[in-house]
Amino acid sequence: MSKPLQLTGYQASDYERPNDGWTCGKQACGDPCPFGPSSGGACGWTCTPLEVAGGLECGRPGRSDCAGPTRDAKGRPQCCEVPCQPAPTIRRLRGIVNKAAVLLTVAALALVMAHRETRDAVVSPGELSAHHAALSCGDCHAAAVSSETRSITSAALLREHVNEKVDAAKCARCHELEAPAWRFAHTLDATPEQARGAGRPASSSLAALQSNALARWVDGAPRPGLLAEGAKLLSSQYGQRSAEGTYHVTNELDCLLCHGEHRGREASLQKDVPEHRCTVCHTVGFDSFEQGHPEFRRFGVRELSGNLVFTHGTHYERYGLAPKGKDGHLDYSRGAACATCHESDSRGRHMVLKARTYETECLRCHQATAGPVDLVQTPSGPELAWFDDFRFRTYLPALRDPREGAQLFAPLGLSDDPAKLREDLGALRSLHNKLLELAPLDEDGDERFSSSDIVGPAKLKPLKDWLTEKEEAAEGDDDEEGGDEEGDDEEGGDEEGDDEEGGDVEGERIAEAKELVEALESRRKSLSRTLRKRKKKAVKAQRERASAYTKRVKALIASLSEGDMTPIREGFGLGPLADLSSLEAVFPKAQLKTFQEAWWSPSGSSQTRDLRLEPVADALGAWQGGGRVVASDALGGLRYEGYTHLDPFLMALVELAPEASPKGRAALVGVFAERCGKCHTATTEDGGLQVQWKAVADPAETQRRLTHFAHEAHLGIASCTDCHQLQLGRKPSERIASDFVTADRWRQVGQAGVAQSGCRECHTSQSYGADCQLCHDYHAGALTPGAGSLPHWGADRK
Amino acid sequence: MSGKSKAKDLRSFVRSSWLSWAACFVLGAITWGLHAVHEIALTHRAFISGWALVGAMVFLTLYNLRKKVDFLPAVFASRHWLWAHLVVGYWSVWVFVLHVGVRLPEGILESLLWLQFVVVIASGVFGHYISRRFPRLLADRGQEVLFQRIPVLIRDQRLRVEAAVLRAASEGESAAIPEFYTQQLLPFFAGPANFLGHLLNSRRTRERLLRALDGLEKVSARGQVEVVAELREAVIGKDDLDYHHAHQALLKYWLFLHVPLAYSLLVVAALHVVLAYAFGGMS
Repeated sequence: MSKPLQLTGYQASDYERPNDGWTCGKQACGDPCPFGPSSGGACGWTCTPLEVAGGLECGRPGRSDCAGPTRDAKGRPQCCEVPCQPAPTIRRLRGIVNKAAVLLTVAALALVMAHRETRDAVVSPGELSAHHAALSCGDCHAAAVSSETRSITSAALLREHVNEKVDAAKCARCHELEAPAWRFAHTLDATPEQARGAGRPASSSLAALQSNALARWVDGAPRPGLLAEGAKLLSSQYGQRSAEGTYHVTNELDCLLCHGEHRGREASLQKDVPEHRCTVCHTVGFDSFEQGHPEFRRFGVRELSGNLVFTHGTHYERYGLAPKGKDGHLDYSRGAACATCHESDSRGRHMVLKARTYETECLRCHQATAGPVDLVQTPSGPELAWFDDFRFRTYLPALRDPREGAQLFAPLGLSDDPAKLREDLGALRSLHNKLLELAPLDEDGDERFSSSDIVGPAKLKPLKDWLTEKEEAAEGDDDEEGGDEEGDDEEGGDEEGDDEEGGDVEGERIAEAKELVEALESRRKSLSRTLRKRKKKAVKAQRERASAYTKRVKALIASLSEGDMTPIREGFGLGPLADLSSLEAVFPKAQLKTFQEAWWSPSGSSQTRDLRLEPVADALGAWQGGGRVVASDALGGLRYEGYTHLDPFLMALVELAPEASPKGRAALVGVFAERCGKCHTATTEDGGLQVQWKAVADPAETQRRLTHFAHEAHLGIASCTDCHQLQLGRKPSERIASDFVTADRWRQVGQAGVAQSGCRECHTSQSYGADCQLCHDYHAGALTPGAGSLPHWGADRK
Repeated sequence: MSGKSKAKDLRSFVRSSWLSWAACFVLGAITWGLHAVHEIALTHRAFISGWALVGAMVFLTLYNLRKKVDFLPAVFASRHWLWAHLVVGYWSVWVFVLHVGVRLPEGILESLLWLQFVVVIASGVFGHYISRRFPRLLADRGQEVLFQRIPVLIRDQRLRVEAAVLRAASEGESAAIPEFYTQQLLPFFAGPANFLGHLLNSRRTRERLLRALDGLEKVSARGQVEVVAELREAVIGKDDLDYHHAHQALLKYWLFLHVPLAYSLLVVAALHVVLAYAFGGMS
């Protein structure tokens, strides 16, 4: 065992105190004093000599090596030992270094932050991208607007990351984002109300899309682990759930969530967005495009079919746009190719119709239906000529059936006393029938009365006269035969007795017929009197109606000439809140004004009596769409006819359908369905109406869609029919019926959808890419660029 | 359970490496999960990882203060804190990666912050390594000595050597030994030597001197062989002391980099927090 280098034990060796701040200055050379320095760093080896009688005495009498205390120049006692300089221990040194490090750091940072130039240079987290290289800190950061450092501190104290939202709002200054849509998911309006307020269709709102099966927040959706937790947290952060369980995004998503700056001049502004971010909202969970992506369903068809009921199959097959080949399929190479009508848009995404119009393409075969449209109706009434033409014999069939007769006479206003009328007609009928039962009395064989002649007064009087003659003749014969009554009775009593019987019957019949005729005449006169009275009343009513009608026409003209559409509003049951400005815009007010001034004097005149609509219609003349107003008849109303395609008045009228009364709505729906609905489709949204007047959607609206297909990039690789396969033999579905429904373009256009399998042939993760953003845009279309050449969102991503 | 056995259990618990790694793993998994959830939820995940990092750094810094407080009960013994310091330290590396990502920062301040953190972590890992490695090395070499006493022991060695040399000079006819001492041993025994060599576990100086002593022995008179043997023993002892000095010095002086830099890091991090809140942005 080797000799120990050191002794341990509190009695055998010195106790090392590494926690002390000072150590003997001779420690380094290995000869420390046993006392060690004091806590204040003073040498502990020197003593304080004692003043004793006769001199000085060492303050440490136990020391053997003391040479004895001395006095300094001033006579003060001093130790014989030269004090050493205590050295700081490692611990103390470290403490000093620590403090120095902190102080130096604080000092350096304070120096840097005190001057703006150095502060901006040091604080900046990185170089700006080339897109924003010309901007300064204050252009984007609210905290950097002021040059004062304390503004940074005060800004930092704001809660809820307010600066983040304030800074994100500054993006909109240059990029002209459509507030407030840009702050919600997919740059869409959060609610249908917001969309409508911004002039966009309600179906484009996030809330509407969220009801779509493609994007629906569903609790318990099969998400793995953390994705489910993240989805829950996301849902609580940015939206809320309604009582019905549907979820709606209500909070804003800032640009900075996905876009970052200060990454270098060549860096992209878009951060790496992992695909699982998409699948947080889009609950149709799948691993990738290659595995589990939902089938495209109708994607592609909607884009291609546009808004018209255009049946490719019908037009190709029936109208020979492309003949059939030997295999029975259409041979597109010999017919009108897809490129005849379709071309890629400016962004290479959508295929749009070339600049073709109805007039250049459709009018050759499809004429615009020109059925008139009733605009203003007036109360109708019976024609006065009816009374003049009234002949009893004309209405004889009515006499056979009093009920039918009552209905026939109802327009005369006689139906207010139908019982009396039926009684009169019944009596007439029975009288007439009784006369018919009597055999003809004319021995010459002439028919004195028949079923068609008997009723009228012109026939009744001669008949009556004839019956009177017959009666008188019968009475004369009876007198002559009365003188030979005894001889007649004795000589040929039987024959003469027979003659007397036949003569009595004949006489009775004549008398009866005469009574019937008189009764008939009386009834006819009674009915005629009634009819005359009624005619007077009808004429009076007619005049009153004419007067009222005239007033109404006058009011109509007066209001329309001033741009007041109240008559049309009332005609179609449009409520007071319905906006008729679109109608006012096309209504020829000036022409009506001219007419009004020509036909009316300020005080009114007799010219207003019996005013007809023809001059009114003539005064209106031709309108913008080529249509014109005509009078339907003398007391009918105004009609609109003669219009051509895209008539602005009809279009404006149709679009008011949702605001009309049920009756008016039905009328307007009928107007659309019978005319425009042959080709144009319409959709209903939340009780509203969206008529697709244009062949294709508004390009701006198309650009707002979230899914795109870069057609142009694929045109050289595949042909149109590789993906879009026409299904021939399909007929267009029923046109818009009594109510506007969503046009099923799938059925109407007759095309098969784009199959996903075709895309997967090329697009995999190893070739051509298959990430979400290849086909799906986060931002709904290209946001409006600024006045300069600001890029579209995602323009660098093809 | 008695106090001694309980303390022993705690000690073994603290020193259990698998437990440390398990704790790190669990913390890291929890952090990663939170981070991933917030990333999915489009929330301020950078602030979450950032505050976790600040919390970790503050906790790590508290260990230095804990060492100055010696009255806390055994539950909060220094070794427990050391264990927690290590676990949290390694965990903070993971949090740092989550916070910064796998990329180099570009701004000056952020680069400074990044560099400081990396150096602190690197020094901490280094310190962890040497604090585990060096005691074994020291135990395998020479005797256990206190660092503060090494100069004293060196001086004692030097005095013995000088006495032996003087004795050899007075008794012997040859001046080889005194010359040898003057030329080679005097600087060797002047103080701690061969610092870097000992850290690299180099025995070159020792072997060189021993070879020289072998040569000296051959040319020394019989009566001076004992002196040479004494010199040899002294050289070995001194070399061992130098070895101890080098290793123990590093064990103590590495903290001169780790701790001050950690404090400086906290200061810069505080400024970073202010700037992050002021200028927003969710990077």
